[in-house]
Amino acid sequence: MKRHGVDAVMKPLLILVSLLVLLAGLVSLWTLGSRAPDAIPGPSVDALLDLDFGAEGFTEVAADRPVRFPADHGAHPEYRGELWNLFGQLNDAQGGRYDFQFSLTRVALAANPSSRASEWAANAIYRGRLTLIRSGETGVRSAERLTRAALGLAGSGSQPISVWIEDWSLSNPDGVPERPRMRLVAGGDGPALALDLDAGKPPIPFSDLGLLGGDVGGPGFQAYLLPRMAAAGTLTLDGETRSVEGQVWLDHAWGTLPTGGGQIGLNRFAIQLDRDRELVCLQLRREDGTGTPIPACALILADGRVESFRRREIRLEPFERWLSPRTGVRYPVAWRLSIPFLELELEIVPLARDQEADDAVRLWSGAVHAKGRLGGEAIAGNGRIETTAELAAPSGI
Amino acid sequence: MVFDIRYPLFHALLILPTLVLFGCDRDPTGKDGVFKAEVGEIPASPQRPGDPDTGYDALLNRSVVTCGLPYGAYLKTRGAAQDAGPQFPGRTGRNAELPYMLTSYVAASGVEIVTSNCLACHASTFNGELVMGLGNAFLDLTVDPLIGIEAAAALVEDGPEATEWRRWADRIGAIADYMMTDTVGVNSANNLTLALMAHRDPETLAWSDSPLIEPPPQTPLPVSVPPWWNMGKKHAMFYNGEGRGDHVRYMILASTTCTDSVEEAAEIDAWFVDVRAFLASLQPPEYPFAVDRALAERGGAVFEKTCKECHGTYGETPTYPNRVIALGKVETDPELARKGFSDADRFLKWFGRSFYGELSQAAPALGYVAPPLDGVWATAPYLHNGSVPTIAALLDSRSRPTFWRFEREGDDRPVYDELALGWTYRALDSGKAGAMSWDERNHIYDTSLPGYGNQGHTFGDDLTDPERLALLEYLKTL
Repeated sequence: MKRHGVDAVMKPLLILVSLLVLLAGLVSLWTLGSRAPDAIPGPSVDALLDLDFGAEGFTEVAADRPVRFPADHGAHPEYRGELWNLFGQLNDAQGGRYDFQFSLTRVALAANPSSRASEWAANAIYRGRLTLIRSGETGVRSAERLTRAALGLAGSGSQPISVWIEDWSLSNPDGVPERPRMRLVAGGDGPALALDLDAGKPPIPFSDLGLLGGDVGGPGFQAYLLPRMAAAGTLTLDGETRSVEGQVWLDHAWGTLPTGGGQIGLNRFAIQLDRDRELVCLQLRREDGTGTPIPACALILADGRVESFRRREIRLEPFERWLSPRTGVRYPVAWRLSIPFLELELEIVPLARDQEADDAVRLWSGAVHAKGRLGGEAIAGNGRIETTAELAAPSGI
Repeated sequence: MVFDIRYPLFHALLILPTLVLFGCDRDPTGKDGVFKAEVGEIPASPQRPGDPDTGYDALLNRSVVTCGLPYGAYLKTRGAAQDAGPQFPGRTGRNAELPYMLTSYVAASGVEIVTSNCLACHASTFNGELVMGLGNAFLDLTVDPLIGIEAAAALVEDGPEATEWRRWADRIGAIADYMMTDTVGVNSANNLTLALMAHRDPETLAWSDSPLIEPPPQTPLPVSVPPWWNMGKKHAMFYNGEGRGDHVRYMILASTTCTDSVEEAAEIDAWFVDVRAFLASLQPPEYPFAVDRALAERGGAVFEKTCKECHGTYGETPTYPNRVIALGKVETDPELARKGFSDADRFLKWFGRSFYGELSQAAPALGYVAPPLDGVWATAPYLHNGSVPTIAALLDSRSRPTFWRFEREGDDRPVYDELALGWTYRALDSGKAGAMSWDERNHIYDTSLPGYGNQGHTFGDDLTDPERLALLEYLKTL
């Protein structure tokens, strides 16, 4: 019997907002379009955006579209937005440790390239952001790139598979589809990186994680993770270049743009643990902290299998908040997680408190360290948390 | 942009095993406002008269639940973007555009909201036709309703819409853990109603965010939704026969998610008298496939010999004994009856003190009512917990699968098995413990779990194969 209205309405939900955090870079770019862009140096987003910023004509992600490799490692220009987000830990030979995040975001302005003759008439804007925390230092170093795809200043393609913004790029020179090798280059005067990345695990479609309904990556967005890539290359800080090695996690997502509506906040946790395991959790919650927060977690095992856990099997609570002196908003930055079925208990603490991603979007995106126990044995790991701001409960409701 | 939001289906009307007061001298005996009944015959209780036609219209177009998703947000969901699906005739105004299990309601704030109605649980399709009163054996209450409800906040405008959303979300948030089942198809409305009672003052019906009495366990016992068309014959509602006295007051317990005062409850009660009259007038559907009349006639004789003592007689002058059968005799899974009899006194007291108990008396018995068998071929799976997939398996306990799931693709309906009388199923080698995914786990009916047992009702075991075949044919005619 054909499925009809009854079941269609009850079908497990696909929430676009669930990717709000995964797509932090995308959201920040998007919201800059409608909010104050003061924090961004160089050409403002407003200046880059056309006023006729319509959503028509873009491809929407079909619910049953499979993730395909190697094609999906490349760019998806037919979709409205796309994000490449890499983070990880690097170590140098002298025992120095560096936690970084490197993200490249593309937002298309119109489905078809403009016919205007202007040199700015490219149909997408690109934003890059690099943050780095050096162990032993306070504070976060950062660098940004923001430009409209024009004059070859930024772009992306499938052949060869690459995305670039000025002197920043991520390319996919070779490797088998399920175990790609990539090269990350972030040049310039700020922290600069040149890393060869070699996949240690096959890519995992976000929809296989079973988070918040199982098909959060359905219509709206599609995404995959490539955790635990072996990284080797150089890091340049204050003009000094050193060899580094480490482990890097890639998120790659594409689709329509999140609208990031009203009352909802979302937190994401992505941690590379010892014993070749990775943990991904999402927590949906009301911005004002009322109601029941809804966590969902997935543990990726050494062989790539995924174990998913739901709200009632998870305890996930913040135990420290940080008040941003710039925006005056509060973020939950340190967390306790337990999943009794796994005998997993973790304390997740930030490497620095002040890791507010962007003044304009009220998002905290920070490197964290985790330690605790799994199955009766000690375990530790490193990763990132993205969390939206906590608001005071509205009065009179 | 389109969102797919899953609705919480929290309004089964007729399956609460709970509840209370006054009544006949000879039946339930009470102590401290708690009444218990003996097994055996259930006496008739007077029902308030109503108009079935008015009741039908009210059932389809009025809201028994007065909180829900603002319509503006509903429009942004995937459900709204799709065809509303099959519809009952007589849906008017906005309701004609909504799927049959949703009803439009304009709240006091002026915000139009979309609410769940009785039909999510109490209507289902059979052979492609929507059947009023057929229990929905495929409803998925394993999904966490909070995900959809909380995510819906992203679709809601600030202001009165957000206030309406918040009221709904907070209520469901308080009860979600009492309504989530671990098997697709089984229903938890009984447990849900007990949870709602725990959050309300019985005398004022005022809501309390924290429970006022100990809530029920967070693992609902599985219940199969019984068909509405038996209401006209039944003296008492619910599997353990505890719903004695006026039936309307039990039915409107389904509204307790958002009914916050006695005045509101009385308003719903006033029009639900007509709905009850409609339900009592409801007739079962006719078997849509071929029937071998000669074989059915031989089966009628088998029925006379084996079944009628408990289930009554059918045809021109039907009889129905209205009896609760003792656990020791029926021997089906005892959990639901035991919990209702021994662990529910606080809810029985609550009911007795409330508006709902004014005309009714909840009096659980330690057994199960042998139901009328009109349209029984449509109501698979069988027994109070839906543990037996077909009537053929019900009539031969040796053939009942210990672990099974419906044979179907995704959310499609399984094919109806005209030989065994039930939905096509597949017997499995292992239960939930052997499942490789949540989805697989949730679709396995595992009779080794507490409350899910498929034992008992072995009255057909001694029939010969030809007798059983004839009896199955006869049941198609009911």
